[in-house]
Amino acid sequence: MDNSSRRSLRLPFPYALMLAINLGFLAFAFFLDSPANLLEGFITIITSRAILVTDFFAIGGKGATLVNVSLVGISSIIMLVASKAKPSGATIMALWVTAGFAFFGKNVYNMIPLTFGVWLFSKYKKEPFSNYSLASLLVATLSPIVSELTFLGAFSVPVEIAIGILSGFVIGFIFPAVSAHMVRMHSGYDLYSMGFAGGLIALIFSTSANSFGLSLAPVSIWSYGNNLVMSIFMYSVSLTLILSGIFYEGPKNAWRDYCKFFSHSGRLITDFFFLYKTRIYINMGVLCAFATTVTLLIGAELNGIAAAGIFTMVGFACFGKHMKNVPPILIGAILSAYLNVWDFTAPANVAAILFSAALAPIAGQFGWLWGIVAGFLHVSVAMHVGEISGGMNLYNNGFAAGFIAMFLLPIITLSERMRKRHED
Amino acid sequence: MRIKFEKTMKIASELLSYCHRMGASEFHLDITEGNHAVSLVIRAKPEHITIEAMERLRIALEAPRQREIEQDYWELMGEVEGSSEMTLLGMLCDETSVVYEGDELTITLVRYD
Repeated sequence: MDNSSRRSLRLPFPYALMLAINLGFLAFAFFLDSPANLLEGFITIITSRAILVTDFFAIGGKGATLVNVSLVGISSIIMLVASKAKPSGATIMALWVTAGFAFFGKNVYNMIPLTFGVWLFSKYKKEPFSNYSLASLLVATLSPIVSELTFLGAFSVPVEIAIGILSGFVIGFIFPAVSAHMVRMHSGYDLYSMGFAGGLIALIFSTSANSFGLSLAPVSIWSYGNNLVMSIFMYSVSLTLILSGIFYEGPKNAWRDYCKFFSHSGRLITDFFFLYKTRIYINMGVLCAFATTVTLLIGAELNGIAAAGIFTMVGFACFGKHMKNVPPILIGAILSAYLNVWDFTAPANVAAILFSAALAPIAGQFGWLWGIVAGFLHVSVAMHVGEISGGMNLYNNGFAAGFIAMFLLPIITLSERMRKRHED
Repeated sequence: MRIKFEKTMKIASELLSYCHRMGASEFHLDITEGNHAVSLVIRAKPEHITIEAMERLRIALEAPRQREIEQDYWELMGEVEGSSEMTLLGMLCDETSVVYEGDELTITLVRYD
Protein backbone atom coordinates (compact mmCIF):
# COMPACT_ATOMS: atom_id res chain seq x y z
CA MET A 1 0.00 0.00 0.00
CA ASP A 2 1.49 3.38 -0.94
CA ASN A 3 1.57 6.40 1.33
CA SER A 4 -1.33 8.21 -0.28
CA SER A 5 -3.77 5.34 0.12
CA ARG A 6 -2.59 4.89 3.71
CA ARG A 7 -3.35 8.55 4.36
CA SER A 8 -6.81 8.24 2.88
CA LEU A 9 -7.66 5.42 5.31
CA ARG A 10 -6.53 7.32 8.39
CA LEU A 11 -9.42 8.22 10.65
CA PRO A 12 -9.14 11.59 12.43
CA PHE A 13 -8.48 11.05 16.14
CA PRO A 14 -11.88 12.27 17.44
CA TYR A 15 -13.69 9.90 15.07
CA ALA A 16 -11.30 7.03 15.84
CA LEU A 17 -11.84 7.48 19.57
CA MET A 18 -15.60 7.64 19.13
CA LEU A 19 -15.47 4.48 17.02
CA ALA A 20 -13.44 2.71 19.72
CA ILE A 21 -15.90 3.85 22.40
CA ASN A 22 -18.85 2.58 20.33
CA LEU A 23 -17.14 -0.75 19.82
CA GLY A 24 -16.65 -0.81 23.59
CA PHE A 25 -20.43 -0.35 24.00
CA LEU A 26 -20.98 -3.30 21.65
CA ALA A 27 -18.58 -5.47 23.62
CA PHE A 28 -20.30 -4.46 26.88
CA ALA A 29 -23.66 -5.44 25.34
CA PHE A 30 -22.37 -8.96 24.68
CA PHE A 31 -21.08 -9.07 28.25
CA LEU A 32 -24.56 -8.18 29.55
CA ASP A 33 -26.69 -10.53 27.47
CA SER A 34 -26.66 -13.56 25.17
CA PRO A 35 -26.56 -13.03 21.37
CA ALA A 36 -30.08 -14.48 21.01
CA ASN A 37 -31.49 -12.06 23.59
CA LEU A 38 -29.61 -9.17 22.03
CA LEU A 39 -31.09 -9.94 18.63
CA GLU A 40 -34.60 -10.32 19.99
CA GLY A 41 -34.31 -7.09 21.98
CA PHE A 42 -32.82 -5.23 19.03
CA ILE A 43 -35.69 -6.28 16.76
CA THR A 44 -38.15 -5.09 19.42
CA ILE A 45 -36.39 -1.71 19.50
CA ILE A 46 -36.33 -1.35 15.73
CA THR A 47 -40.02 -2.18 15.42
CA SER A 48 -41.18 -0.02 18.34
CA ARG A 49 -43.17 3.20 17.92
CA ALA A 50 -40.20 5.00 19.51
CA ILE A 51 -42.47 7.86 20.50
CA LEU A 52 -41.47 10.06 23.47
CA VAL A 53 -40.83 8.50 25.98
CA THR A 54 -39.97 4.94 25.03
CA ASP A 55 -37.04 3.87 27.17
CA PHE A 56 -35.31 1.16 25.13
CA PHE A 57 -33.97 -0.42 28.35
CA ALA A 58 -37.60 -1.22 29.22
CA ILE A 59 -38.63 -2.73 25.89
CA GLY A 60 -35.42 -4.30 24.60
CA GLY A 61 -33.18 -4.68 27.62
CA LYS A 62 -29.87 -3.02 28.47
CA GLY A 63 -27.75 -5.17 26.16
CA ALA A 64 -29.92 -4.67 23.07
CA THR A 65 -30.10 -0.94 23.79
CA LEU A 66 -26.31 -0.77 23.86
CA VAL A 67 -26.24 -2.61 20.52
CA ASN A 68 -28.58 0.07 19.17
CA VAL A 69 -26.46 2.87 20.65
CA SER A 70 -23.34 1.35 19.16
CA LEU A 71 -24.85 0.84 15.69
CA VAL A 72 -26.32 4.35 15.61
CA GLY A 73 -22.96 5.73 16.73
CA ILE A 74 -20.95 3.76 14.18
CA SER A 75 -23.30 4.58 11.30
CA SER A 76 -23.07 8.27 12.24
CA ILE A 77 -19.27 8.12 12.17
CA ILE A 78 -19.35 6.39 8.77
CA MET A 79 -21.66 9.13 7.48
CA LEU A 80 -19.37 11.92 8.69
CA VAL A 81 -16.28 10.26 7.27
CA ALA A 82 -17.98 9.48 3.95
CA SER A 83 -19.18 13.06 3.61
CA LYS A 84 -15.65 14.30 4.44
CA ALA A 85 -16.89 16.37 7.37
CA LYS A 86 -13.92 17.59 9.38
CA PRO A 87 -13.83 16.93 13.12
CA SER A 88 -14.93 19.96 15.11
CA GLY A 89 -16.64 20.68 18.40
CA ALA A 90 -19.93 20.58 16.53
CA THR A 91 -19.41 17.23 14.82
CA ILE A 92 -18.09 15.57 18.01
CA MET A 93 -21.10 16.95 19.87
CA ALA A 94 -23.47 15.62 17.21
CA LEU A 95 -21.95 12.13 17.48
CA TRP A 96 -22.51 11.98 21.25
CA VAL A 97 -26.02 13.41 21.05
CA THR A 98 -26.96 10.97 18.29
CA ALA A 99 -25.59 8.02 20.24
CA GLY A 100 -27.23 9.26 23.45
CA PHE A 101 -30.70 9.41 21.97
CA ALA A 102 -30.33 5.84 20.79
CA PHE A 103 -31.02 4.95 24.44
CA PHE A 104 -34.59 6.04 23.75
CA GLY A 105 -36.34 6.91 20.51
CA LYS A 106 -33.63 6.79 17.88
CA ASN A 107 -32.62 3.65 15.98
CA VAL A 108 -30.90 2.71 12.75
CA TYR A 109 -34.23 2.33 10.98
CA ASN A 110 -35.94 5.58 11.87
CA MET A 111 -32.94 7.89 11.48
CA ILE A 112 -31.79 6.91 7.97
CA PRO A 113 -34.78 8.25 5.95
CA LEU A 114 -34.40 11.60 7.70
CA THR A 115 -30.68 11.75 6.92
CA PHE A 116 -31.45 10.87 3.32
CA GLY A 117 -33.93 13.76 3.20
CA VAL A 118 -31.17 16.15 4.30
CA TRP A 119 -28.92 14.64 1.60
CA LEU A 120 -31.62 15.37 -0.99
CA PHE A 121 -31.76 18.96 0.24
CA SER A 122 -27.99 19.32 -0.17
CA LYS A 123 -28.32 18.04 -3.75
CA TYR A 124 -31.15 20.49 -4.39
CA LYS A 125 -28.97 23.31 -3.09
CA LYS A 126 -26.01 21.99 -5.13
CA GLU A 127 -23.80 22.05 -2.05
CA PRO A 128 -21.58 19.33 -0.56
CA PHE A 129 -23.39 17.06 1.89
CA SER A 130 -20.68 17.82 4.47
CA ASN A 131 -22.13 21.37 4.73
CA TYR A 132 -25.21 19.71 6.17
CA SER A 133 -23.50 17.11 8.33
CA LEU A 134 -24.84 18.52 11.60
CA ALA A 135 -28.42 18.70 10.38
CA SER A 136 -28.12 15.22 8.87
CA LEU A 137 -27.32 13.75 12.29
CA LEU A 138 -29.47 15.93 14.52
CA VAL A 139 -32.54 15.72 12.28
CA ALA A 140 -33.04 12.39 14.01
CA THR A 141 -34.77 14.38 16.74
CA LEU A 142 -37.87 13.67 14.61
CA SER A 143 -37.22 9.96 14.16
CA PRO A 144 -40.36 8.95 16.14
CA ILE A 145 -42.44 10.27 13.22
CA VAL A 146 -40.88 7.66 10.91
CA SER A 147 -41.50 4.84 13.39
CA GLU A 148 -44.99 6.04 14.30
CA LEU A 149 -46.11 6.11 10.66
CA THR A 150 -44.39 2.82 9.87
CA PHE A 151 -46.01 0.93 12.75
CA LEU A 152 -49.36 2.65 12.67
CA GLY A 153 -51.33 -0.56 12.11
CA ALA A 154 -53.84 1.10 9.76
CA PHE A 155 -52.58 -0.14 6.36
CA SER A 156 -50.66 -3.10 4.99
CA VAL A 157 -47.02 -3.42 6.10
CA PRO A 158 -45.42 -2.40 2.75
CA VAL A 159 -47.69 0.67 2.49
CA GLU A 160 -46.88 1.73 6.05
CA ILE A 161 -43.13 1.26 5.51
CA ALA A 162 -43.39 3.39 2.36
CA ILE A 163 -45.35 6.10 4.23
CA GLY A 164 -42.85 6.07 7.11
CA ILE A 165 -39.81 6.31 4.86
CA LEU A 166 -41.33 8.96 2.58
CA SER A 167 -42.31 11.08 5.56
CA GLY A 168 -38.68 10.85 6.70
CA PHE A 169 -37.50 12.10 3.29
CA VAL A 170 -39.89 15.06 3.37
CA ILE A 171 -39.07 16.07 6.95
CA GLY A 172 -35.33 15.64 6.33
CA PHE A 173 -35.65 17.85 3.25
CA ILE A 174 -37.28 20.77 5.08
CA PHE A 175 -35.36 20.45 8.35
CA PRO A 176 -32.12 22.32 7.41
CA ALA A 177 -34.03 25.40 6.27
CA VAL A 178 -36.26 25.47 9.36
CA SER A 179 -33.42 24.85 11.83
CA ALA A 180 -31.17 27.53 10.29
CA HIS A 181 -33.94 30.06 10.66
CA MET A 182 -34.94 29.08 14.20
CA VAL A 183 -31.49 29.71 15.64
CA ARG A 184 -32.15 33.46 15.43
CA MET A 185 -35.11 33.19 17.80
CA HIS A 186 -33.01 32.35 20.85
CA SER A 187 -29.82 34.12 19.73
CA GLY A 188 -27.69 31.05 20.41
CA TYR A 189 -28.66 30.72 24.09
CA ASP A 190 -30.40 27.37 23.54
CA LEU A 191 -27.62 24.89 22.88
CA TYR A 192 -30.10 22.27 21.66
CA SER A 193 -31.09 24.53 18.83
CA MET A 194 -32.04 21.67 16.52
CA GLY A 195 -34.49 20.49 19.17
CA PHE A 196 -36.21 23.85 18.98
CA ALA A 197 -36.61 23.45 15.22
CA GLY A 198 -37.67 19.83 15.66
CA GLY A 199 -40.25 20.89 18.22
CA LEU A 200 -41.84 23.29 15.79
CA ILE A 201 -42.03 20.70 13.01
CA ALA A 202 -43.37 18.08 15.46
CA LEU A 203 -45.97 20.55 16.72
CA ILE A 204 -47.22 21.23 13.19
CA PHE A 205 -47.16 17.53 12.32
CA SER A 206 -48.89 16.22 15.44
CA THR A 207 -51.58 18.89 15.58
CA SER A 208 -52.32 18.37 11.88
CA ALA A 209 -52.42 14.61 12.37
CA ASN A 210 -54.74 14.94 15.39
CA SER A 211 -57.01 17.31 13.45
CA PHE A 212 -57.53 14.67 10.78
CA GLY A 213 -58.22 11.81 13.14
CA LEU A 214 -54.75 10.31 13.58
CA SER A 215 -54.39 10.34 17.34
CA LEU A 216 -50.80 10.85 18.48
CA ALA A 217 -50.11 10.95 22.18
CA PRO A 218 -46.87 10.60 24.15
CA VAL A 219 -46.29 7.42 26.13
CA SER A 220 -44.41 6.79 29.37
CA ILE A 221 -42.34 3.64 29.17
CA TRP A 222 -39.51 3.76 31.70
CA SER A 223 -37.08 1.23 33.09
CA TYR A 224 -35.97 0.80 36.68
CA GLY A 225 -33.18 -0.92 38.56
CA ASN A 226 -30.25 -0.16 36.26
CA ASN A 227 -28.23 2.01 38.62
CA LEU A 228 -25.37 -0.36 39.42
CA VAL A 229 -24.68 -1.43 35.84
CA MET A 230 -25.23 2.05 34.42
CA SER A 231 -23.08 3.70 37.10
CA ILE A 232 -20.22 1.39 36.17
CA PHE A 233 -20.89 2.13 32.50
CA MET A 234 -21.05 5.92 32.86
CA TYR A 235 -18.03 6.23 35.15
CA SER A 236 -16.11 3.98 32.73
CA VAL A 237 -17.00 6.35 29.88
CA SER A 238 -15.91 9.28 32.03
CA LEU A 239 -12.60 7.60 32.89
CA THR A 240 -12.00 6.66 29.24
CA LEU A 241 -12.46 10.28 28.18
CA ILE A 242 -10.19 11.66 30.90
CA LEU A 243 -7.52 9.05 30.13
CA SER A 244 -7.80 9.90 26.42
CA GLY A 245 -7.13 13.55 27.24
CA ILE A 246 -4.16 12.58 29.39
CA PHE A 247 -2.88 10.14 26.76
CA TYR A 248 -2.97 12.74 24.00
CA GLU A 249 -1.85 15.80 25.95
CA GLY A 250 0.34 14.25 28.64
CA PRO A 251 -0.46 14.27 32.38
CA LYS A 252 0.62 17.89 32.90
CA ASN A 253 -0.71 19.45 29.71
CA ALA A 254 -4.09 17.74 29.91
CA TRP A 255 -5.24 19.82 32.90
CA ARG A 256 -3.43 22.97 31.78
CA ASP A 257 -5.83 25.74 30.87
CA TYR A 258 -8.78 23.75 32.26
CA CYS A 259 -9.97 26.89 34.06
CA LYS A 260 -9.85 28.75 30.74
CA PHE A 261 -12.95 26.83 29.69
CA PHE A 262 -14.77 28.83 32.36
CA SER A 263 -14.03 32.13 30.63
CA HIS A 264 -16.44 31.22 27.81
CA SER A 265 -20.15 31.93 28.08
CA GLY A 266 -20.83 28.83 25.99
CA ARG A 267 -23.20 30.62 23.66
CA LEU A 268 -23.40 29.13 20.18
CA ILE A 269 -20.80 28.92 18.62
CA THR A 270 -18.19 28.04 21.23
CA ASP A 271 -16.03 25.37 19.65
CA PHE A 272 -13.83 24.00 22.43
CA PHE A 273 -12.18 21.55 20.02
CA PHE A 274 -10.80 24.45 18.02
CA LEU A 275 -9.76 26.30 21.18
CA TYR A 276 -8.38 23.47 23.33
CA LYS A 277 -7.86 20.52 20.97
CA THR A 278 -7.78 17.14 22.73
CA ARG A 279 -7.96 18.78 26.16
CA ILE A 280 -11.72 18.77 25.54
CA TYR A 281 -11.72 15.14 26.65
CA ILE A 282 -10.93 16.27 30.18
CA ASN A 283 -13.96 18.59 30.16
CA MET A 284 -16.10 15.84 28.62
CA GLY A 285 -14.99 13.26 31.19
CA VAL A 286 -15.50 15.65 34.10
CA LEU A 287 -19.01 16.61 32.97
CA CYS A 288 -19.89 12.95 32.39
CA ALA A 289 -18.90 12.09 35.97
CA PHE A 290 -20.64 15.23 37.27
CA ALA A 291 -23.96 14.50 35.52
CA THR A 292 -23.89 10.84 36.61
CA THR A 293 -23.14 11.82 40.20
CA VAL A 294 -25.93 14.42 40.25
CA THR A 295 -28.40 11.82 38.96
CA LEU A 296 -27.38 9.36 41.66
CA LEU A 297 -27.29 11.96 44.44
CA ILE A 298 -30.86 13.07 43.84
CA GLY A 299 -31.88 9.43 44.05
CA ALA A 300 -32.97 9.11 40.42
CA GLU A 301 -32.91 6.11 38.12
CA LEU A 302 -30.13 5.82 35.54
CA ASN A 303 -32.55 4.77 32.83
CA GLY A 304 -32.42 5.30 29.07
CA ILE A 305 -33.40 8.96 29.16
CA ALA A 306 -30.96 9.76 31.97
CA ALA A 307 -28.23 8.06 29.91
CA ALA A 308 -29.21 10.24 26.94
CA GLY A 309 -29.04 13.30 29.19
CA ILE A 310 -25.56 12.38 30.36
CA PHE A 311 -24.33 11.67 26.79
CA THR A 312 -25.76 15.01 25.70
CA MET A 313 -23.83 16.66 28.55
CA VAL A 314 -20.68 14.91 27.31
CA GLY A 315 -21.26 16.00 23.72
CA PHE A 316 -21.81 19.63 24.56
CA ALA A 317 -18.72 19.64 26.75
CA CYS A 318 -16.86 20.30 23.51
CA PHE A 319 -19.42 22.83 22.30
CA GLY A 320 -20.17 25.25 25.12
CA LYS A 321 -20.75 23.49 28.45
CA HIS A 322 -18.34 23.49 31.36
CA MET A 323 -18.26 23.21 35.12
CA LYS A 324 -19.02 26.89 35.63
CA ASN A 325 -22.04 27.42 33.37
CA VAL A 326 -23.81 24.08 33.98
CA PRO A 327 -24.19 23.91 37.81
CA PRO A 328 -26.33 27.07 38.21
CA ILE A 329 -28.82 25.76 35.65
CA LEU A 330 -28.98 22.36 37.35
CA ILE A 331 -29.46 23.99 40.77
CA GLY A 332 -32.46 25.93 39.45
CA ALA A 333 -33.84 22.83 37.72
CA ILE A 334 -33.42 20.63 40.82
CA LEU A 335 -35.12 23.26 42.95
CA SER A 336 -38.01 23.43 40.49
CA ALA A 337 -38.34 19.64 40.33
CA TYR A 338 -38.33 19.48 44.14
CA LEU A 339 -41.10 22.06 44.48
CA ASN A 340 -43.34 21.12 41.56
CA VAL A 341 -46.39 18.84 41.68
CA TRP A 342 -44.63 15.76 40.30
CA ASP A 343 -42.59 13.24 42.23
CA PHE A 344 -39.07 14.69 42.59
CA THR A 345 -37.39 11.70 40.97
CA ALA A 346 -40.10 11.06 38.36
CA PRO A 347 -38.23 10.20 35.15
CA ALA A 348 -39.61 13.21 33.27
CA ASN A 349 -38.49 15.52 36.09
CA VAL A 350 -35.01 13.97 36.06
CA ALA A 351 -34.83 14.29 32.27
CA ALA A 352 -35.79 17.96 32.52
CA ILE A 353 -33.05 18.48 35.13
CA LEU A 354 -30.32 16.84 33.03
CA PHE A 355 -31.36 18.47 29.76
CA SER A 356 -31.88 21.89 31.34
CA ALA A 357 -28.16 22.45 30.73
CA ALA A 358 -29.23 23.49 27.20
CA LEU A 359 -29.46 26.91 28.84
CA ALA A 360 -25.90 26.88 30.21
CA PRO A 361 -24.94 29.93 28.07
CA ILE A 362 -27.39 32.06 30.07
CA ALA A 363 -25.46 31.29 33.26
CA GLY A 364 -22.18 31.73 31.38
CA GLN A 365 -23.12 35.12 29.99
CA PHE A 366 -25.31 36.66 32.69
CA GLY A 367 -24.22 34.92 35.89
CA TRP A 368 -25.35 32.34 38.42
CA LEU A 369 -28.59 34.02 39.42
CA TRP A 370 -30.03 34.17 35.92
CA GLY A 371 -28.77 30.63 35.40
CA ILE A 372 -30.76 29.42 38.39
CA VAL A 373 -33.86 31.28 37.15
CA ALA A 374 -33.46 29.74 33.68
CA GLY A 375 -33.07 26.22 35.09
CA PHE A 376 -36.06 26.70 37.39
CA LEU A 377 -38.37 27.82 34.59
CA HIS A 378 -37.08 25.21 32.17
CA VAL A 379 -38.44 22.25 34.12
CA SER A 380 -42.01 23.56 34.10
CA VAL A 381 -41.99 24.22 30.36
CA ALA A 382 -40.24 20.95 29.55
CA MET A 383 -42.86 18.99 31.49
CA HIS A 384 -45.58 20.29 29.15
CA VAL A 385 -44.16 20.81 25.66
CA GLY A 386 -43.83 17.09 24.99
CA GLU A 387 -47.60 16.92 25.04
CA ILE A 388 -48.14 19.64 22.42
CA SER A 389 -45.61 18.11 20.04
CA GLY A 390 -47.27 14.73 20.37
CA GLY A 391 -44.09 13.08 21.70
CA MET A 392 -42.61 13.29 18.21
CA ASN A 393 -39.62 15.48 19.07
CA LEU A 394 -36.88 13.64 20.94
CA TYR A 395 -34.96 16.83 21.78
CA ASN A 396 -38.05 18.01 23.59
CA ASN A 397 -35.95 19.90 26.15
CA GLY A 398 -34.32 21.86 23.34
CA PHE A 399 -37.81 22.96 22.33
CA ALA A 400 -38.56 24.02 25.92
CA ALA A 401 -35.18 25.71 26.36
CA GLY A 402 -35.78 27.77 23.21
CA PHE A 403 -38.91 29.29 24.77
CA ILE A 404 -37.10 30.02 28.03
CA ALA A 405 -34.26 31.77 26.17
CA MET A 406 -36.73 33.79 24.08
CA PHE A 407 -38.63 34.77 27.23
CA LEU A 408 -35.67 35.56 29.46
CA LEU A 409 -33.33 37.38 27.07
CA PRO A 410 -35.39 40.58 26.75
CA ILE A 411 -35.94 40.61 30.51
CA ILE A 412 -32.25 40.08 31.26
CA THR A 413 -31.25 42.73 28.72
CA LEU A 414 -33.70 45.21 30.22
CA SER A 415 -32.53 44.42 33.73
CA GLU A 416 -28.86 44.83 32.74
CA ARG A 417 -29.62 48.18 31.11
CA MET A 418 -31.49 49.37 34.20
CA ARG A 419 -28.64 48.26 36.43
CA LYS A 420 -26.07 50.08 34.29
CA ARG A 421 -28.22 53.22 34.23
CA HIS A 422 -28.56 53.04 38.00
CA GLU A 423 -24.79 52.61 38.40
CA ASP A 424 -24.08 55.57 36.09
CA MET B 1 -26.78 34.92 -4.63
CA ARG B 2 -29.24 36.52 -2.23
CA ILE B 3 -28.12 34.25 0.60
CA LYS B 4 -24.49 35.04 -0.18
CA PHE B 5 -25.21 38.76 0.10
CA GLU B 6 -27.20 38.28 3.31
CA LYS B 7 -24.24 36.46 4.83
CA THR B 8 -21.96 39.32 3.82
CA MET B 9 -24.36 41.79 5.44
CA LYS B 10 -24.40 39.76 8.64
CA ILE B 11 -20.62 39.62 8.76
CA ALA B 12 -20.46 43.38 8.20
CA SER B 13 -22.99 43.86 10.99
CA GLU B 14 -20.92 41.72 13.36
CA LEU B 15 -17.76 43.70 12.52
CA LEU B 16 -19.50 47.04 13.08
CA SER B 17 -21.01 45.76 16.31
CA TYR B 18 -17.61 44.61 17.58
CA CYS B 19 -15.93 47.94 16.85
CA HIS B 20 -18.84 49.80 18.45
CA ARG B 21 -18.51 47.70 21.60
CA MET B 22 -14.83 48.57 21.69
CA GLY B 23 -15.74 52.24 21.80
CA ALA B 24 -15.29 53.27 18.18
CA SER B 25 -17.54 56.03 16.91
CA GLU B 26 -16.20 56.30 13.39
CA PHE B 27 -16.04 53.34 10.99
CA HIS B 28 -14.85 52.77 7.45
CA LEU B 29 -16.11 49.57 5.89
CA ASP B 30 -15.13 48.37 2.42
CA ILE B 31 -16.88 45.39 0.87
CA THR B 32 -15.63 43.96 -2.41
CA GLU B 33 -17.54 41.19 -4.14
CA GLY B 34 -15.68 39.24 -6.80
CA ASN B 35 -16.72 36.23 -8.83
CA HIS B 36 -15.62 33.68 -6.30
CA ALA B 37 -14.80 35.67 -3.19
CA VAL B 38 -15.92 38.54 -1.04
CA SER B 39 -13.63 40.63 1.12
CA LEU B 40 -14.51 42.95 3.98
CA VAL B 41 -12.15 45.49 5.50
CA ILE B 42 -13.15 47.59 8.48
CA ARG B 43 -11.08 50.41 9.92
CA ALA B 44 -12.02 51.98 13.23
CA LYS B 45 -10.50 53.77 16.21
CA PRO B 46 -11.68 51.83 19.26
CA GLU B 47 -11.29 53.76 22.49
CA HIS B 48 -11.35 50.91 24.98
CA ILE B 49 -9.67 48.02 23.29
CA THR B 50 -7.10 46.22 25.43
CA ILE B 51 -4.19 43.96 24.55
CA GLU B 52 -6.17 41.02 25.99
CA ALA B 53 -9.20 41.88 23.84
CA MET B 54 -6.98 42.10 20.76
CA GLU B 55 -5.49 38.71 21.56
CA ARG B 56 -8.95 37.17 22.07
CA LEU B 57 -10.08 38.65 18.76
CA ARG B 58 -7.03 37.33 16.95
CA ILE B 59 -7.49 33.81 18.37
CA ALA B 60 -11.22 33.83 17.59
CA LEU B 61 -10.68 34.89 14.00
CA GLU B 62 -8.00 32.24 13.54
CA ALA B 63 -10.73 29.58 13.72
CA PRO B 64 -10.50 27.59 10.50
CA ARG B 65 -13.32 27.84 7.96
CA GLN B 66 -16.00 25.35 8.97
CA ARG B 67 -18.48 24.89 6.19
CA GLU B 68 -20.09 22.15 8.32
CA ILE B 69 -21.57 24.70 10.70
CA GLU B 70 -22.21 27.53 8.28
CA GLN B 71 -25.64 26.42 7.14
CA ASP B 72 -26.87 25.89 10.68
CA TYR B 73 -25.50 28.88 12.53
CA TRP B 74 -24.67 31.75 10.16
CA GLU B 75 -27.89 33.53 11.07
CA LEU B 76 -26.56 34.00 14.59
CA MET B 77 -24.17 36.70 13.48
CA GLY B 78 -24.94 40.22 14.54
CA GLU B 79 -27.72 38.99 16.82
CA VAL B 80 -26.58 39.57 20.35
CA GLU B 81 -26.06 42.80 22.15
CA GLY B 82 -22.86 42.81 24.21
CA SER B 83 -21.55 39.48 23.01
CA SER B 84 -17.98 39.17 21.94
CA GLU B 85 -18.14 35.77 20.31
CA MET B 86 -16.12 36.30 17.17
CA THR B 87 -15.21 32.66 16.65
CA LEU B 88 -18.21 32.18 14.40
CA LEU B 89 -16.92 34.98 12.22
CA GLY B 90 -13.57 33.20 11.92
CA MET B 91 -15.34 29.96 11.01
CA LEU B 92 -17.16 31.65 8.16
CA CYS B 93 -14.00 33.13 6.62
CA ASP B 94 -11.05 31.64 4.79
CA GLU B 95 -8.54 34.41 5.48
CA THR B 96 -8.49 36.88 8.34
CA SER B 97 -6.09 39.49 9.63
CA VAL B 98 -6.10 41.88 12.55
CA VAL B 99 -3.76 44.88 12.59
CA TYR B 100 -3.59 47.56 15.26
CA GLU B 101 -1.36 50.47 14.28
CA GLY B 102 -1.30 53.83 15.93
CA ASP B 103 -4.80 54.01 17.30
CA GLU B 104 -6.46 52.38 14.30
CA LEU B 105 -7.77 48.83 14.21
CA THR B 106 -8.02 47.16 10.79
CA ILE B 107 -9.81 43.83 10.42
CA THR B 108 -9.72 42.10 7.05
CA LEU B 109 -11.87 39.07 6.21
CA VAL B 110 -12.00 37.07 2.99
CA ARG B 111 -14.60 34.42 2.12
CA TYR B 112 -14.31 32.16 -0.88
CA ASP B 113 -17.40 30.58 -2.44
